Amino acid sequence: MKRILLLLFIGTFCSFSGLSLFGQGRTVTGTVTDAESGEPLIGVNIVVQGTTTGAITDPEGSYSIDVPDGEAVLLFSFVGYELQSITVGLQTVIDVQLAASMVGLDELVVVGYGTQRRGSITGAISSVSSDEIQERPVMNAGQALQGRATGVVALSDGGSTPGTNVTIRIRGRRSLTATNDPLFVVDGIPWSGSITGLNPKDIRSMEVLKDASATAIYGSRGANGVILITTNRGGNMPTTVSYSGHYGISSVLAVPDLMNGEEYYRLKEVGGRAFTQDELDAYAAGVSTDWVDLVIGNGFQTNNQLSVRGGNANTGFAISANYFKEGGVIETQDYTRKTFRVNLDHQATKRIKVGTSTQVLSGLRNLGSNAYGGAVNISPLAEPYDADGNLIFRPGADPLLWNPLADYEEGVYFDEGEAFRVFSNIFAEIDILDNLNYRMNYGPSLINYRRGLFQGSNSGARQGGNALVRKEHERVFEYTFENILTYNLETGDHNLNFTGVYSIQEKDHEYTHIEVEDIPYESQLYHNLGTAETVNDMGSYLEEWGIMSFMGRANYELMGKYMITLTARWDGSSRLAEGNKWGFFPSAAAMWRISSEDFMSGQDLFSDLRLRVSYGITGNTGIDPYQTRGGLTRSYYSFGGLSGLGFRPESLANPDLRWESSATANLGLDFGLLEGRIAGSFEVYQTHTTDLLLERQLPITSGFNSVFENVGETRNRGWELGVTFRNFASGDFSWETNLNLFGNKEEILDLYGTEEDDVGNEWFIGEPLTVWYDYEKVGIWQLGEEDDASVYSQFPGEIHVADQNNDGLINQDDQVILGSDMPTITLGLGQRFEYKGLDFSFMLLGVFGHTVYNDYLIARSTLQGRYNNLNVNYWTETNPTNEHPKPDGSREYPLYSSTRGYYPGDFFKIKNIQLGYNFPTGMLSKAKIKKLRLYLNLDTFFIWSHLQKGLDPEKYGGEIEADVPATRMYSFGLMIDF
Amino acid sequence: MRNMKTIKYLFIVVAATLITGVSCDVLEEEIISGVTVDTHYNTPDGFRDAVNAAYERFRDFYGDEDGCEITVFGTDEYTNGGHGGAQYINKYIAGLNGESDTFWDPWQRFYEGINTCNAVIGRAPDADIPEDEKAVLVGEVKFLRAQYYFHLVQFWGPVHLTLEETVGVETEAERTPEDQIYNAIIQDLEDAIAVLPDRQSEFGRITKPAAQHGLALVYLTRAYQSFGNGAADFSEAADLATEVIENSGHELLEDYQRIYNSDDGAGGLVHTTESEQNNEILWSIQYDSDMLLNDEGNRTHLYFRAWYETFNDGLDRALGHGYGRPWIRFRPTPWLLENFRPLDVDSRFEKSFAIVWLYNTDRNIPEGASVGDTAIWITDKTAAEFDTAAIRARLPGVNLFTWNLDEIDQDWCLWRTDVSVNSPNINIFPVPWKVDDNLRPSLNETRGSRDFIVYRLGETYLVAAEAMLGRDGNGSNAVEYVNAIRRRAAWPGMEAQMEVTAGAVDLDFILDEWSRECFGEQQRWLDLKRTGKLIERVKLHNPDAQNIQDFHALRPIPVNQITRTTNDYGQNPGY
Repeated sequence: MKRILLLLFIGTFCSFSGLSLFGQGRTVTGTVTDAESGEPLIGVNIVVQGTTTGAITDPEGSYSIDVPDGEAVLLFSFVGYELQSITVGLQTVIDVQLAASMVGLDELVVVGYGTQRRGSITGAISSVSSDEIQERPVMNAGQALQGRATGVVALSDGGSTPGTNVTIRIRGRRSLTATNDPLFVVDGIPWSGSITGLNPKDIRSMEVLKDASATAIYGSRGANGVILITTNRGGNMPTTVSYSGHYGISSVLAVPDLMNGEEYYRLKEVGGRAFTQDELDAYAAGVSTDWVDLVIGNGFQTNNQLSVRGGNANTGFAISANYFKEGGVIETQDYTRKTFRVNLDHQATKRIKVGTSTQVLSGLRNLGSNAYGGAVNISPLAEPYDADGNLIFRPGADPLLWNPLADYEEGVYFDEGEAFRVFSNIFAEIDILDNLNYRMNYGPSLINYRRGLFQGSNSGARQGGNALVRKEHERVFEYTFENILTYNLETGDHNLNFTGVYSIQEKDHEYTHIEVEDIPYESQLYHNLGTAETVNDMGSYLEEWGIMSFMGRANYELMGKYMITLTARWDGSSRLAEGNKWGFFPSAAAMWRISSEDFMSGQDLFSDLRLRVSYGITGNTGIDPYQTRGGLTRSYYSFGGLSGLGFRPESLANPDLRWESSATANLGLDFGLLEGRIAGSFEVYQTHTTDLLLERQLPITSGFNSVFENVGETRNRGWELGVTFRNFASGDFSWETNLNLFGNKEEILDLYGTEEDDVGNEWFIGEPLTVWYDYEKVGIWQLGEEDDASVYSQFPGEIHVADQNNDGLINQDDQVILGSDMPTITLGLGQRFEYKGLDFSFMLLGVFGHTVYNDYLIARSTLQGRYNNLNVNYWTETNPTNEHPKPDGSREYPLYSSTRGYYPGDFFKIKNIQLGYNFPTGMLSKAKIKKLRLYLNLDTFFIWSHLQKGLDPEKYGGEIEADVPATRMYSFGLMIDF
Repeated sequence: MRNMKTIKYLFIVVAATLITGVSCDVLEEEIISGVTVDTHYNTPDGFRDAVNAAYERFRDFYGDEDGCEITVFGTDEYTNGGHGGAQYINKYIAGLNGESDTFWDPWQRFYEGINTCNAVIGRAPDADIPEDEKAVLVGEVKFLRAQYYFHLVQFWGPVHLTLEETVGVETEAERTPEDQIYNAIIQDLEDAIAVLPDRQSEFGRITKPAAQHGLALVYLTRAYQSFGNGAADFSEAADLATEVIENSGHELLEDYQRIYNSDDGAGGLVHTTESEQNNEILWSIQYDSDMLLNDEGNRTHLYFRAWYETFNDGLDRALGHGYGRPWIRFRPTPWLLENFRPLDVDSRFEKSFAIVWLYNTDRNIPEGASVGDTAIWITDKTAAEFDTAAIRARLPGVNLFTWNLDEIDQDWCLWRTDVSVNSPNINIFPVPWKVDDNLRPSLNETRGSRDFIVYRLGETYLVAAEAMLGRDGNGSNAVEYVNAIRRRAAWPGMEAQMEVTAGAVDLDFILDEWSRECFGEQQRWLDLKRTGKLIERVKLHNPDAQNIQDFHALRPIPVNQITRTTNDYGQNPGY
């Protein structure tokens, strides 16, 4: 059946054959200059209309391009300039002058399975250009998106551990338990896994597809938005060798205010916690060790990119090598990324083009151990070294608190994750007809990952016990195979473009691990597991899935003013059960270019005005394979020394699982005012998601804790404003402001069709997808309130929470919603000033409307006295504060401890400030240098938030953990082109 | 010509597309590394795997911290030590509610175990294994299901009862009346007794005597309940218990200490496979020194341990017997220790507790002392009986304590916790030998390999005695069983002094005897609750638990259960 469908599909395209003529072709040359200044323009994109044949101007502005005989039209496009089309006719030399365009309507924008002129786009797309990405010393593509694209919330996964990823949410979240991660597509091939593995220095542009018109073409994977990443390519141009690099020093923003020896002694005393003789002696001797200071140092970051780009009329290449290394403020933590890229395009014959985009990655992440966590915990009354300067392994009173410096000793602790990846797109294109193109992409990706964990006997994790060793190995192979047909028809006022895709993708994931202890000699690390006395654990698994898709898209443009896009995609997934495998995802969109209407010709307020509307359905298949099947899990038992291993039911089968689907309506207005000095877009949208894939918590009395189900509805409503103000641009000085402001409101509309909340899952109708649900802190029970407190079996000095229903009991009925972790307003504001070659810019990020949970504070304010504590204001008989309760050495943490942790999440952050200088070309040309730029950059200059000083409020999920303190980085960078 | 070329290109395109079309199995899902219920449980090995899995969840109760916290402290025997976050359970104060994971964890594990049992029992008719083997396996699993429910109903009262494997999504649950749950438990145990053999070839599998003991305890427990059959239940319990005592082939060991440990050949004690498979044991939860079989292991060795290493210099944490890794959760009440007197008649105090620690490192060792000398000594004597000055002179730097209540005003008394900021005595106390696990591979290893004894013949005697007391209304028959236990516990030559008269045997005496024989074995809270003595005896003997109230005889239903249930599940009163 599917085979027949396929043939029909192909057949449809075939019927277009024979319409056009073929020619022999010839070469056209010329130069492209700026219409105003007459300066040659470098890097102008030249395309033979209706084909993919193209060229790029060299540093002299010259180009050379092969054109077919007949009615060939050359399109000249360049960022910031009006597109110009010139009919070749009989000319062989065509010199072109391009006029600056403030709006850049004709620049080509990458869309799903193709490109489009910005002015013709019907969907909601944010673009981030090469300059914006290259200008800052970012370590991954996600960071480059921060504050740059409307509708995109990109927040750090937290901490300042080297190699930390960024979590990206486009227009909020739709799904309660399935993924909300957008789909990354790199040079046409879906990229799975952390985007940190992609070298950001290779990126030429990023397009964020947001509404259904733009994303429906990705069907079942489009619901969370799509980020298209295009990497640098070569072309018909002289060879350019570029180096760019930076080196930065990072340091902690602030260290936590922990108790010193005296304060800690007092805490233990008040809490009634036992002292040992060592502690009493240390206290008497005035010992107060600042452990955090001992384990925290300065980190660094360096990035070095060497690339060569060039080519001739038939072949273009871009080769780059990159070395990135980040060392953490915890000296055992670092991340090294080495990438190598080859992008190649070759015109094999007049009609056949082949090429590749290939990146090879080698990434090494040393996670080290949590020495900082140990330093925060350990008693300030303990000393790190003995009189001879030797490390004391167990310095404190508590035998489980190990000297955090022990892990810094040679050969004691390793946690190395090493990834090797080849990610490639190999493609071929055939121009079957002049206006009918076939492209085949084969995109294999192979990831080899291994983790080696070694905890030596003297490490904090083993504390003198046997060394523990663990090795994990993962192999992930996936491929995407795509067949794309594009057809263009332009006659007079009508412009029709048709794209059809047939695609399959498969993924195999193998995993193996083994954990042993008691190895005969520690120098083997994790390389001789067979010699261990004890095997703790071992296992392996195989996971496979596949997707098959058929897609079609038609764009129709009438008189350059009216544009319609229709897309449809059928996706089949192996992860769903028979009968539910296939999903259909259509979308429709229209655009009206109002500024091209006759009635607008008289005015000069609007240089551009476009109205867009779209509606479509996208899907989310974010469930793991085999979820529809139900499964057993290993059970562990023994009988008198004999194996009693077994299998126990673990998950319920649900063969009815379907795609989660999101219907999105989008209304957009693109505008250019005052000759493009103000240009931007305003969007409003609503996404209505149904058949949510929920991991629904079940009453355990059935034996199962949860099941995957399609239930419930959510809605996201929002607006987005992105504006570029060219405030001032004359002579040597210019000032530009970029504003991104957007709001989004998540809401659960329904759960099980009963209009009832699901308190067990903390899902509430009318509320965002995740909320903080807890008791509400009133204060601390004070002296004189003994009788009131005793109603709840409580005592003065303990945390007083609200008895919401006044029934004399504190139980689940007294928990209330204290806020949500999802921001409602996000602001990105960039300012850029240029004077001659000098430029100064800064970027401000503001995130508002959410509530965070300060786990950092709570976890380090247990007031138990076993661990060191943040120096908080705690209650005593003589200090009747309402902030923190009375220390109690008998419990691990205070009753209702978490109620102290909720804070408004609003923050402002000056993400970076940069001062740069571009050397004048005249001066450089003598040294045969095309371009030279030097800059100084400061990351995380300033933070304003409700949290304690030194805490970074930027954290996806709103749980402020600060496993590693927030850092600031000063860096110096250099970019040079030869 | 041109058309030919076009056709050639088209051919390439169609061919390329068709190559990919061949892989239509892209959408077929085949599970290779995993198994599903339906494919595995119906095979012979799969059925045996399901039976093994039915045992597993008791490891999450016996030998587990949560399981200990709801049975060990908050009783007359044990109160809290200086460490641990769940002391509210001992003290019966705020925090003891349905939000506490301490209740959620066992609740959850028991129901997972029940569903596994239900799967075995329900699928048994189709299982392709020999019928006689199948019958025994089903008998084992029925015993286990009865045990899961017996635990649930004792802690929480009316709870959800289901005897069918869950195959679809269930969001409702009922609070089945307790009498119906007891009926289901009794039915399962009777079925088990009918098919189980007296001994199993694999130690640790359920046997007929274990099931008989279990059923005796169930009848004994129901006998006290308003919906129970009173004297008839007591009578059933007595008959089942005497049947085990007389006809099962199990016998009391001669030496009380050998129930838990054997000699290590160097003057110390050790638990070994042999000591764990002695003839007194009816049912023990199996743990193993092979970590691949042991999972989380038996962790009781952590919880009952004093913070010995901080009570003198020259002491390091060590792996040896009596030392170990201290979590300091459970501390004896004064009553627990006093209950063993007279110590020169009843041997069980001395055979149960470590009271002396020796210097084991030169680091900071007190002047004049050397490794192997006594560092800490806990005595039962008063200063008048125990020449402390002479002992201190003989043992340089020794830290002396007494648990004698006559010394309550003195700093060296264990029950003084306000003595000084230096090491309040809450963290030092006698530590039971029976939880020691010196076979762990390293000193901080939590995963112990000691089997956890749930039922043994010594307890069967006490079940018989308690049942006869309830049936007869006096100790005339019970006394024989009590004395059998007491004679075994006597120091040699003291057997006669250990014996009691029928008149002395009342319910409190039997509870005292349970404690002397089985203290700290995750049974005490249930024994007190069964006999209706919980509130009275906790108030009498546990100084930290004075807030206990009547409603505390039931545990709070975990809030997870209430909020996830679509119908109204209902909390126990008082919470």
